[in-house]
Amino acid sequence: MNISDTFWTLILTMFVAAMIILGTLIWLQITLPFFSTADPVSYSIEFVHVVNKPFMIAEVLAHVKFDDRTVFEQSIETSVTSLQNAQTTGLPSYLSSYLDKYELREYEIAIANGNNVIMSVESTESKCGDNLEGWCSDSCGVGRVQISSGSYRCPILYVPEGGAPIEKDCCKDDIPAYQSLPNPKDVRSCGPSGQGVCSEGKRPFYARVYELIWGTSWKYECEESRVDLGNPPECGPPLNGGNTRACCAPMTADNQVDAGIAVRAIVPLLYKQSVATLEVTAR
Amino acid sequence: MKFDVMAIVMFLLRMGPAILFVFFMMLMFFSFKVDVRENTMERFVFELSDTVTSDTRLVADESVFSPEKLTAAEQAEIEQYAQNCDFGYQIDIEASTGPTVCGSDNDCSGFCGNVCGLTTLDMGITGNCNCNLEVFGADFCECKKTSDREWQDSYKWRLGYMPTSMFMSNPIVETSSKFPVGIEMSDTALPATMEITAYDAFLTRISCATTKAFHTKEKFVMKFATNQLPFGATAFRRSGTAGTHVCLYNGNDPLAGECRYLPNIPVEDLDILAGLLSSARNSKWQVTAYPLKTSSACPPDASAIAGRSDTVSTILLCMEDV
Repeated sequence: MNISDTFWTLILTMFVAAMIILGTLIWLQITLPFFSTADPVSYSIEFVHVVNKPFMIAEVLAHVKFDDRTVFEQSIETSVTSLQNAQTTGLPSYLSSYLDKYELREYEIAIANGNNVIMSVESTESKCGDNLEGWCSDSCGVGRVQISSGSYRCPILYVPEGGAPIEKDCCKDDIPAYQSLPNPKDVRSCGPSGQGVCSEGKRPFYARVYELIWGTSWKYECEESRVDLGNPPECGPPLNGGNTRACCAPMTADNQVDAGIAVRAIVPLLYKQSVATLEVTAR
Repeated sequence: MKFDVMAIVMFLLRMGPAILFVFFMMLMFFSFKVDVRENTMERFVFELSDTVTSDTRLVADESVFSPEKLTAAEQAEIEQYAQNCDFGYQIDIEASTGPTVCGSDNDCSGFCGNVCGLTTLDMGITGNCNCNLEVFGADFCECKKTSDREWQDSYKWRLGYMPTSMFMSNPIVETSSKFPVGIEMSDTALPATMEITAYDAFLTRISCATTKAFHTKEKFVMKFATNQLPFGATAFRRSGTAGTHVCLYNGNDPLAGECRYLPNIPVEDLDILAGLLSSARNSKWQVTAYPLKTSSACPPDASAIAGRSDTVSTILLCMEDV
């Protein structure tokens, strides 16, 4: 037998063995459910959803009358003067009760003159605290502190036998207060304009196993009632030992629009030289 | 011939990798997934919402519906306003305001006139306008648009294609979305929700294949399984003397809800039952819509099928097993 034959046969065998191992790993990734989130051999196209709700709400509001004046008329007068001078102090509560009937997930209506927000109302469904300064969440994470639910309570998670009902946490975005807690994690800003903070997010028990096998990061999602801005590199190790990889921003209308999960319709309010806007954000 | 063990082993060692390599390439090929989600039905629903909320035959102002126009549209056919060949649809518009509190039947006359469009009121539980007595909570007004309709306690309209045999596999696919709209009430607008449900069902597919064959002068094939047929459907044919609709029939009676607006397209009757009985064990079928220039039976002669320059005299539907 020729030595060259044996040599090339061994080379070929090693090559194929490597491919078998690679193929097995690909098969595992496709088959096992917790690996399927990161299929390396797929190509996905999804058409962007059409979002027209805020525009439809703005169209309806153009027709709504309240206290003998249309909402638009009251909005223009408010933008030129103020809520008190335009005698429109009842407008926020009226708009709030009107929009609550639509059962939207989130909404905000604001009258703004440039950067000056003259009036703003928003949905209160996921909010809590005496002044609606908190958000109901499974856990607060980095950059938020738990506050008392106050008059706006959070949904009950469960009722232990013979005990008081356990509600979701009422979390307020307050970085200084978080840093004053015992053993806080390092707080680092993240996101395109630094609106988020790196937080623990939701960490499934098999995330570590996934990372060890594949050497890539698990996609961590933010805690409830926070805007998820992904897992940017600035939130990765060495920050907090790699335990705060999710970039999470407060659930404000601006942050939701920036993240593409809500849409804003802007209606110009024109009166002589005054140019203000009625902004309807919804999802 | 000399039996050389080493030569055989070497042969297997060389062939084995080659075969494994082929298997590996197959694995790579079949592992590659192309996932394209057009969301056609979802996009149709959103596009339809734009069309409907700006149609002056239905709205008083953009996204603000007129009760009078909606009541008139309920008597008509919504596909006259907007039609999609591939999908049928149903629109539900309902005010989000609570019920109207009443003390007696007479308190409800205004409500019944506005909400149900009633000009002749028949007060009481046996009539069409009633103050519903509640054991707990406040009594509220309710009315019936027609005697065969259910009581309603708020502004509510339902327009469009309404398949009734939902408990079967029909419709094949459906999707729905809700939109915030208004209902014009004196000089303001009540908050309301418009829900559009699109259906991809047997009737929409067969009527669309017929339409496409007529307009494009090409044959269209529609495939279906027996369990996708609405329960009791034995025929597909044009309905009534006016003939503006096509319907699925059970014997001589159209199936409730299984009709679609399809005027000015001549189509031959399709005997679904006969087709099913021709191959009772089969569960997969296809209906081919042929554009004909002269009449013919199934399968049609090539000379009878209309070409590009011919005028289509009728559409012939032929059913066969797959």
